[in-house]
Amino acid sequence: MIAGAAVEARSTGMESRQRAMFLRLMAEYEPALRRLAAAYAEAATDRDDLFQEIAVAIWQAVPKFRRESSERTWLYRIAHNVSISAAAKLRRIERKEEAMPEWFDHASTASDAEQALLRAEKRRLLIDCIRDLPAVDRQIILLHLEGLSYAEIEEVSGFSETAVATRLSRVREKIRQKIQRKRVSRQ
Amino acid sequence: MNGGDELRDLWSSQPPFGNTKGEEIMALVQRKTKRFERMIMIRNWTECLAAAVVTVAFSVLAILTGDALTRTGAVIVAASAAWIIYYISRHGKANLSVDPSQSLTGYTQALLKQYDHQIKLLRSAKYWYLLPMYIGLLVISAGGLLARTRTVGLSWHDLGGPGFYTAIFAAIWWLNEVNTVKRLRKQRDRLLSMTTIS
Repeated sequence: MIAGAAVEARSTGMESRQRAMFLRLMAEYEPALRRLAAAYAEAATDRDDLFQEIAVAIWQAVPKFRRESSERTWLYRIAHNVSISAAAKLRRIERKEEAMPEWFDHASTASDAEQALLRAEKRRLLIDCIRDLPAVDRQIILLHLEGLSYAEIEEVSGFSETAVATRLSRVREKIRQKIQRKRVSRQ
Repeated sequence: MNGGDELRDLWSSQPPFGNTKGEEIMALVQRKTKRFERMIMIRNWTECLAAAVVTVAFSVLAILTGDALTRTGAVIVAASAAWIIYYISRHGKANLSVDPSQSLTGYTQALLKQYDHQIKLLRSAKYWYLLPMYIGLLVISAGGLLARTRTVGLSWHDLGGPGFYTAIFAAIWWLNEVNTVKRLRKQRDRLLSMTTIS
């Protein structure tokens, strides 16, 4: 009876620790996790589903977290892995290459509203380019954009810092070329 | 646009996505987890119950029937139902969840292994799932048809039963081996192409 009560008390304690850690992680990382979901799923409902799937995976992984890596890298590893397996399950919708709007190259003469639109368009283009990248490159650039250091990216992806640096410069170049191609297709 | 900092600025300038309260997310997560666990439990119970019903019904038939061929068929069907449950519980639920906190390479390998396992299981379903039960039903039908030949003679209507369950078994085979395997292969290939390092 006493042993049973002790087990119950311990499991209640563990659950409250799990709750506390989960709430803290969500408070800190929800926007980043939602941005990450957006880089893997295009439709709003898919993005929401993916975010929820990530949250479920984190909730289930919290009790097993052994602090062998930093909390941040551990969280991103879960988020990326879940996103990749979810993206593989999603039916890929072929998107037509859209021509850039006429005002894309004329930022200097644009009004504030146009500037905002231009920035939004650039952002959309960046996310589109990221979505088209292979998973490994997508993971590396997203982690970089979220402000992780090369050492942290190494911890998440398993690539050495040198390999991360090389791939990152190649990915940047790929994105630049893609954007260039879109511009050319407009002209 | 190729500067890392400009990309970072652009990325971090995204309007804040969602502002859900942590408690709301947790409630949602707990709801989803509970729903999933309940779904798995219901599925397991349904499988067991269906197998138990088939086993009991065909065991009763085996006891009550006077025809040897029908009895043999009924015993085969009853044993098949019990065998299917054993097989699913032994092989069907292996590697159900893959730990997502491992490295991308480890995670991908585990997922690929899981896909291969599911595909293998579905491709072999005709042997461990459909065939034993189908043979049992065929033997029962043969017993019934022979009995009718001896008494009133056969008509085309007598083939309705075997035709019906053959169509059902063919549909199950198609769903498993053609439809689902095709879908899983596509997902596996997509995963592989997404994670292949160039």
